[in-house]
Amino acid sequence: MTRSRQRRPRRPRGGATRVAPALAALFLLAVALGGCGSGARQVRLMYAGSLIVPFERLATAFEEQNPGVDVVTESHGSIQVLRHVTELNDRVDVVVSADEQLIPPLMYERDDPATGRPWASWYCSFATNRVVLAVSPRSPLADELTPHTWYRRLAAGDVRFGLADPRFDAAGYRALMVLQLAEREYDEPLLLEDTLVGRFTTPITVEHEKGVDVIEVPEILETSAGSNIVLRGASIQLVALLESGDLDCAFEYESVARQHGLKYVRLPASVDLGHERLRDRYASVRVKLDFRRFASVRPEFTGDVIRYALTIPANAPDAELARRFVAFLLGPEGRRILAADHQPLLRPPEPDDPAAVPEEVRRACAGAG
Amino acid sequence: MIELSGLEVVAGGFQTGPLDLRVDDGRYVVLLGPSGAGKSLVLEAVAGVRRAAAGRAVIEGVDVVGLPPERRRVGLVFQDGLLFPHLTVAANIAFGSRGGRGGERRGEVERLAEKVGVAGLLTRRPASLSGGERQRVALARALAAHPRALLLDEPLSAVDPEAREGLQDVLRRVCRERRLPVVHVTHDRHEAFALADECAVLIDGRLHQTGRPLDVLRRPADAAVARFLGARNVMRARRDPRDHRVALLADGGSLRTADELPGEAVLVVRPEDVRLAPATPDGSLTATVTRLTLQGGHVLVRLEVPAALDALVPAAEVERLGLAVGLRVAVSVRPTDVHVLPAG
Amino acid sequence: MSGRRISPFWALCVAAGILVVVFVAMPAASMLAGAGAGLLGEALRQDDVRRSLVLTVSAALITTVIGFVAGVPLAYLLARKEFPGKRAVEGLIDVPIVFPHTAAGIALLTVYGRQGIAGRLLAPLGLEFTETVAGIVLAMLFVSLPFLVDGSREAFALVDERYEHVARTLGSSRFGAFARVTFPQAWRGVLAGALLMWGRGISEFGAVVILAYNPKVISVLTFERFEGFGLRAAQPPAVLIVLVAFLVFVLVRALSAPRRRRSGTEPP
Repeated sequence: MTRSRQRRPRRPRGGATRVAPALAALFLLAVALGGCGSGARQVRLMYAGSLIVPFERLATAFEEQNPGVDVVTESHGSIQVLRHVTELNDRVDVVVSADEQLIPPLMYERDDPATGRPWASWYCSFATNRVVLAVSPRSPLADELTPHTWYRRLAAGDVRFGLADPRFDAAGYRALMVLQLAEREYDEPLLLEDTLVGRFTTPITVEHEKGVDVIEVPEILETSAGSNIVLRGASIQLVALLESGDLDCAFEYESVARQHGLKYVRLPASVDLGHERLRDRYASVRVKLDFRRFASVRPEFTGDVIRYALTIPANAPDAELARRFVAFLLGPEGRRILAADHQPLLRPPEPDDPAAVPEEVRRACAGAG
Repeated sequence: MIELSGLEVVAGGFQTGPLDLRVDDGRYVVLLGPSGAGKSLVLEAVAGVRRAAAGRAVIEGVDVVGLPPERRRVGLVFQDGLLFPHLTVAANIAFGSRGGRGGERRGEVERLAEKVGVAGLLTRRPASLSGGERQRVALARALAAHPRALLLDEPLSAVDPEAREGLQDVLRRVCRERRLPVVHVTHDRHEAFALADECAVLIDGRLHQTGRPLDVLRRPADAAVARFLGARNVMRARRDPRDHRVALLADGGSLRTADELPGEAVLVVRPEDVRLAPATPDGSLTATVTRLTLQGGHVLVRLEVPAALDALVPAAEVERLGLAVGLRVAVSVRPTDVHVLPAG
Repeated sequence: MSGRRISPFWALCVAAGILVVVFVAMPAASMLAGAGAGLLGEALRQDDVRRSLVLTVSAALITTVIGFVAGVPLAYLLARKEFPGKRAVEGLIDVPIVFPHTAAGIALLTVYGRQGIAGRLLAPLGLEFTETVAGIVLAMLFVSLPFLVDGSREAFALVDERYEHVARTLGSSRFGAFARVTFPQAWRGVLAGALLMWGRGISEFGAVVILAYNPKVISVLTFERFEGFGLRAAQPPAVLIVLVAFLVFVLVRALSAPRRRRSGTEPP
């Protein structure tokens, strides 16, 4: 008897057999798109959060002028910006701090363990700013915050105001300095204490030594429950809360307030850290960060006029491109962009050690005189 | 007492009813019909787990159609028991019992368990029981809630044939003792004949006939009922114009009937009423055996008249007659065994 | 039982399993190794870490309880009923899963912030959602609710609806049928969903950090430590929360595992 082949009945193509090829195609597409790496040259910027608006524009402009170049940006509080290089081993091309004072202790006086040499050997100051009290457009208390009344309202405790964390952001310890300087200006001896007492689980204290007020910030800084102060790691993060109305006001840089169209209270010149001629006045206040467990920053800052500074770390991945970017920033086009975003500039930019800065940078500084 | 008037149930485009049915206390009514006839739908509507499209269902004087199931006091036993798997047998039975304190309730559970024959299984879980045991527990559970009526949906289908008879006894006994009106749904006519006080035949959503089992069996109301009840010989015939008691079969041959025939009729003859004898040359009906099928103690003999005709003959008789495929035999049917239905 | 060949199918499954387990275990193990027992003990002694740990675990617990109360009825409804727009509702419930976490935080801020629609309505009741525990719970709830609802819905759907019918013919109300028949059979699935919800709440960062930076949950504390003080400082709180969550998961699963009976009928 011959064996006849049974004809197997054809099974109808059900859901699974129809979906599978489509999914496979999608998967391949995703891999292709995601894996599309840019073979472009990269320049990595890390900068203080208050610069985010102008720097995004700078990045775009630089990319347009230099096709094939990809500008990668990242922003944090100023102290964290530098510590990303010195503690977290980030390889960055250009770092920008909102306080030039931070660069020597953090980058000159410490060595890169890989090379045994300092992380950086020069910086160039290029911009300045002023501290203002930005007011939320949605705050019912907006009218009560005037140049004459703001400090009393903050001390009274019924106004919700935002503060950058002084341990992580220069804007934070600058705000504390502002409050201390306001004591002298308005002759309100207990202003700082009244504004801060009871607002933190571990209090911020003030010592008076030889005509200098030293503010001590504890290692653990947390707002206590129901406090009218809101802390954020970087001052720029306060802007969102101002816009949503969850803060009545916040200490911000004037450039940031203007960039976001926020109304603000102008502070007296002797208080706002924005005037070169008042440096001695500003120096009457210092802020000390009480880092015990994690001591890596020399935790004492003296009040001074606000000066933004940049440098190219010694271990920058693409130093040549970094120099080109810095020259662009300090050059006429970069300055135009910064000025358009209300960033006050130093004319000319000032390197701390003209002998140590790269050639392009020196030329750019000279050309901007 | 259960009284259904004009009860209609609609499901998935299929309509059952309108039905009229009455079940007195203590009466056991079997709702019989082929699968898919809508019998379960009727039970679900009476129990309240399905909405009735129209009609009334009056139980102990209360029309329950508008009430939620928990207020109807109607017990429902499913084909697969549907015992709660997370509870023991005892907890299952006790589920619907109300009132009384713990001790009283335990006592009642034990009594019911004894009554249905699962006294030794109280601590077991449903998963470990046989089909028959599960149905007994399901019955006890339904009774523990003191229903005013009991509905059983194919309760014996999932039970082994050997266990079925025991379960049938339990069903009848318990329901009789409690004087409950019972509606038992099944597609198995033997089950119906064994249990029913009354049969209600439901085919294609309509009630075709109600009556005592024997009446329905021997005097089906129409061809559909007859076929469903196993009357294999359903034949169309014309009245012989010369003798109104002779039916001329469509495919040849004739049968005498007890009563006068209408002009066109459908004749039903049960297989067990077809008598076979050795073929004789006189003018009686003869047929050829085309198939023999053994069924229990009987043999189903298919005959070709030339119309197909089935006879159910005791096995001993088959041997005596020497029946074999191809043999010609004489076929006769007593006129009183010829059941006449109107044509159409 | 000598000379039993391992079927290639099982071998494949085991190989894949090993890959996955290693993939998951390595980061956790390296963290544990990096932290060391000394550092962990020290972390437990740190006030802010302890407070953050307690806050995180209890906020997630509150979130899960709220999710249970609100989500189980919805899950039951979805499991039992059909209604127009049901697919849309089910899709909507799952939206928080695809919501980028920071975007979720921003969305919640605009609605529940001091000037948001719900924020303004609830403020007279004493409820504030920025910089408060209530805000933490809100953020956790938003991102983790789908897990409980989906898990419970599947669990309820697996329980034959006819059991509920039977219960009702025996005199149970709808709620009684749910409580005495459906839920006792579905509770494991519900618990699994709740456990996922709790775990998801604990691990949330993006949405919480926008609504309530303070008081700090562990994820925020770890981030702040990392940003401000470096890797070393960030490890102890991270390891602690992973350990705590892991222990809870294992414990709950062990306690709720069904007793399995060996059937002894494994095919060769």
